[in-house]
Amino acid sequence: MFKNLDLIWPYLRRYRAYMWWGFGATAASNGLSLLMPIVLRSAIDRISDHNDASHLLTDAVIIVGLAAFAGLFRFWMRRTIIWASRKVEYDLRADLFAHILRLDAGFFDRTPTGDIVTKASSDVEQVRMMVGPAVMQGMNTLVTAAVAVPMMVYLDAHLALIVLLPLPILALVTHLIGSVAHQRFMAIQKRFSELSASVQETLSGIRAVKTHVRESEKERTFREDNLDYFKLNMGLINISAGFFPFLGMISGATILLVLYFGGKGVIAGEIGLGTFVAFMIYMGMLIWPMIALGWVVSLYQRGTASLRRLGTIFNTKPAVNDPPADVAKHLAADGTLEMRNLTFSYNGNGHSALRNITFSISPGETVAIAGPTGCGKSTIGHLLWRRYAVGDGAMLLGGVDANRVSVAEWRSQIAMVPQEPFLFSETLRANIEFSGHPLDEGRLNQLGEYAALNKDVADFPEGYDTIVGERGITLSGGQKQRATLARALASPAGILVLDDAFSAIDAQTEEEILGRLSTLFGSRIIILITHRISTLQRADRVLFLDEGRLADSGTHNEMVTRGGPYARWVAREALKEKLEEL
Amino acid sequence: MSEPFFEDEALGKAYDHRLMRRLLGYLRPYRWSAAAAVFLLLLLAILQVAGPWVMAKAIDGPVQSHDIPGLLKWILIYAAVLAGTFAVQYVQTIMTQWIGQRAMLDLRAQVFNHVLTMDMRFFDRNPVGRLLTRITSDVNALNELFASGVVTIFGDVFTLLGIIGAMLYLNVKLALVTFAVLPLLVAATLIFKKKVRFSYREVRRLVARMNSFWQEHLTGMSIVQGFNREAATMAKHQEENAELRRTNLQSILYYAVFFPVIELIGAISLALIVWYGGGHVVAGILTFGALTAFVQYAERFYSPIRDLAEKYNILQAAMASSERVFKLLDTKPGITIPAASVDKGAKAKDGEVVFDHVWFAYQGEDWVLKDVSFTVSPGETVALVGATGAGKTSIANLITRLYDFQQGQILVDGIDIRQWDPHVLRQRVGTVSQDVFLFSGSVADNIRMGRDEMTGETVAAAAEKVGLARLGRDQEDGLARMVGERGSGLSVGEKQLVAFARVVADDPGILILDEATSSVDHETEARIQAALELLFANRTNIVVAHRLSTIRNANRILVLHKGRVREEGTHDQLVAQRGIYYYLDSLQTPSLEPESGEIAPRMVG
Repeated sequence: MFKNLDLIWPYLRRYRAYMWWGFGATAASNGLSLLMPIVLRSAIDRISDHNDASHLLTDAVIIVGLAAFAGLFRFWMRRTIIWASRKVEYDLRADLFAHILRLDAGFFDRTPTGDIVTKASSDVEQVRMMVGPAVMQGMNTLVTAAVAVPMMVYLDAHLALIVLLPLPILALVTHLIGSVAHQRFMAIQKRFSELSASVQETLSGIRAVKTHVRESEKERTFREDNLDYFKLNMGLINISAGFFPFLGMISGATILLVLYFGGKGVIAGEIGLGTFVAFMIYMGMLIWPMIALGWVVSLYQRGTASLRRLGTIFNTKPAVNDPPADVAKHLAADGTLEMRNLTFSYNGNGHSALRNITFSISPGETVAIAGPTGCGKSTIGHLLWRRYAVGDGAMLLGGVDANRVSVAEWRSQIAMVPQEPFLFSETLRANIEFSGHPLDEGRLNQLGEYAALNKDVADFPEGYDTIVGERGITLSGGQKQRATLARALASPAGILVLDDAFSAIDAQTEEEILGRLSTLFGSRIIILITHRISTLQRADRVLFLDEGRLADSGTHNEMVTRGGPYARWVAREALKEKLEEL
Repeated sequence: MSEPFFEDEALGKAYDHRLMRRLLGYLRPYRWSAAAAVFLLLLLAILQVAGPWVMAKAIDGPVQSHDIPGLLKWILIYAAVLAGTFAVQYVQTIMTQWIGQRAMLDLRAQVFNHVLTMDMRFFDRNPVGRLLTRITSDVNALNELFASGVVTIFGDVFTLLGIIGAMLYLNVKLALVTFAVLPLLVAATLIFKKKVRFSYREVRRLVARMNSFWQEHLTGMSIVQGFNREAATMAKHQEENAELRRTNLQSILYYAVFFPVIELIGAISLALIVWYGGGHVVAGILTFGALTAFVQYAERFYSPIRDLAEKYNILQAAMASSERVFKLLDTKPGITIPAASVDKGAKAKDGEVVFDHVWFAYQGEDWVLKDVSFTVSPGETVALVGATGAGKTSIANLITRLYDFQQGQILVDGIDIRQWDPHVLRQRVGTVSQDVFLFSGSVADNIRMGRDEMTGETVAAAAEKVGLARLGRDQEDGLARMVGERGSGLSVGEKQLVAFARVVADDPGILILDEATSSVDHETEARIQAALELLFANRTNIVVAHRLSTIRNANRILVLHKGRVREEGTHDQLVAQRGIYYYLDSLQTPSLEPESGEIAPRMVG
């Protein structure tokens, strides 16, 4: 949908007033700066031709005055353009995050987190460099050239033509060396990642290295890789080291041309010494913008490449969407949860994780979903949460198809305790209130009681206001699971889903928690994804999955008595549990 | 557990004498090149001062005396100065960078080699990512410090002194008048650097926070979406985003003020030169050429002053990184080569392994092995059996001395393993771990494991023996088949066989085999069975066993449960006991798919 630059136009349009002001300030500032050599010229001509020093003080004041006003405009140039670029950066990052918030789990399965973080940081920064510094320097070069060149032509057309010739070389050289250097730099980066990957491999396999006594071999290969990396670096240094010296030489050469041809002009009496010096200064003023021009081109190229990468995210459409407003329906309270002939596979036409699943759960029921690893029980949890789009078949709540309900409304009916307990690096309270329903102290303690969390929290330095996770204290697996349970309980959703949520909690505590939950929940639905026998016995009904199919269902006792796949599976699980107790 | 010295973000002081001395030590091998680079910088400073000087001569001489051939002579001199500047600057930069890169090469190798000597506890404590940062990026600090730091300070000082000297020589009074702006320049630069340094640090902190915000919320995206917290999360993101923008806008202000101020100071010095110098020219005290030279020198003041101000940041960052690197280098390995390791003649009981009341914990008092004692006689095959977490793998870890135990004694060949050189011990005791780690490279590389002395025939023979050659799906590739990172591209069974081939090629006297738990297809299973028999012949074997056949073929079974040896005997004896082994054995009876022949019978891992 977006071509490279299409993505950035709306942002630039939003801040076009800044851009115009910036352009005006650039023009004004350069215009004033470029008057200075004229003043200098008349001062010098008066000195050399008339030995007249009477106006020198006035000239000096004018020079400082011009610089002061030019500086004022230069301040505004930066203040507007760079300012706008920071705002574009802010907006772009915000839009990127807002877009990502809408994407489905499929996108996150496909895209490594590190890649997304890189796009949000370095690609957004590259785009900013393009709309900020590159635009500013581009304008600067444009205005300087547009004013200085006619001025020099006005002073002496012939001399101007000769001395201006080498200037475009500066832009060209900057761009060419810049491109080659960028390529070599990318090659170094690539080699650096390879070197890192190889070190990472050695360190990850350190056990194998040690048990096979392979340290010296690893040292040798590292030495070779290291040397190779060194050589690539020198390859870049060999050209980049010449960059500034070469620019210095070219700009020196332009001065040399002024010196020779201008000097000849002075000798021949065709131009005054003042004009000669003014030329010299104009050349000096043109050199940097010319070098910058080459840099601007490189920035532009990198910026568009980053825009292309950002475009791949912006062009990713979420797979889980709200229905069109005219067909949207609402959910009634306390509906029956159903799945009808539901078949699902994670990657389109690949292996089906769920095949033809049909079941129905009434309000007030507690249903367990069990089965061996890989049977599809967690997939049901994912679909209930609408992390993926329901494909074949249907999922309904109170007779309303999930695809006819807004995603947010559907999710508001599901409180999930996921298999991997994830807490944000915030206070425990903020984590439990995460569903967006603020809790007063009493309610918080009550939930903590239900989730068997209060005893642990009493030991935390700041109780429920203790920060957990990366920036705070580290919780044990069981504490995390109980905290995520409390978070789910804080939500008024009609369906509570516990996806193997007690794996790090002992069976007795689990019993206690579940006992309290059934009194708390009344008319709500509880779905327990589990393989613990005591939990299975407690459920009103068990759905037994095997290889994505509903292999058996009924109460635990019924199925065990009946024999069959569930009974065999339970026997095995019972043995495992028995062994644990020995 | 937590080691504060590994903090990544802490920025300390800019100059630490002790650290600097140690860092400069890495430059010692290149000290003559470094001296040459400094000499070139001196030359460069002279050439940079020479440019405006030559121009002044040209203006005062040929231009004013209307001497065109004379002008050409000065033009040529000027061209020579330009070419010289180019050459010297180019060579000097390459030299300086070369030294920095060389020193970095040395330091990186030193850190890597040091890390390889560390024991497993160290690797448990330090995530791979952190060590990687030390070896790769932190080492760059040395380059920063040298190539962009120390040497260029010389260059900046030389240039500054050269310019000041030349101006004083041309005209003392005018020079002093021009220098009047110097305090302004220095003050403006210092104030700016201070402000910018602060806001730069602030920006870095906020950028790091922004990245970790993204990292965290991308990881927890299912929670955000599942609890309908998109809007709230977006709001939090915008708080961080806005703070970053505010700080960035703030720093724009510094730049926006600073650059015009510097230009204004430049204009003031120019105005001073025009006013005061112009008067001198008219009065005949100063030549016209000298005046233009002054103008140009004044322009060249700024860049060395700015560079010098920059050095502070570079030094500070370099000190912080090098401190982390040195801390790592100063960490001593927990398991070292004993001063007097045993000689071969002392080995009385070849092939015997003894555990004598061994207690072991990975951390503190969390005992994984409790008072474990057993003896494996030379040539015997013993199966270790037990549920997950029983301590089987820890026994394997201790025999090869990947970890040191807290109490008791372990003897290999009748000698305490703490008296062995760990490298020699590990050559004596071969290992096949449960999760076979293959390095990227060919299958043959993975069998050879870097031993160049091993002939192709030996490798091929080893592969042939374990039946690896017949397994390759693509027969043509065979041993040359490339294996991806962490052995990707090979099946679990194939990886096992590669590990077996390693053992066959090595032919250790004692073998510790940790059987894989994951299932393999029928044919591979048959190959593994056949290979195992061959592997166990003529050596002492300790097998963490999952296969029924392996367990039944063992001379003896040790049942580990919760860190203790609870039962011991043959299969039949243990089944008759109806204890832990009996349960373990019942568990392995396939219950779900009775018809499935694909899954090999095995004990619970």
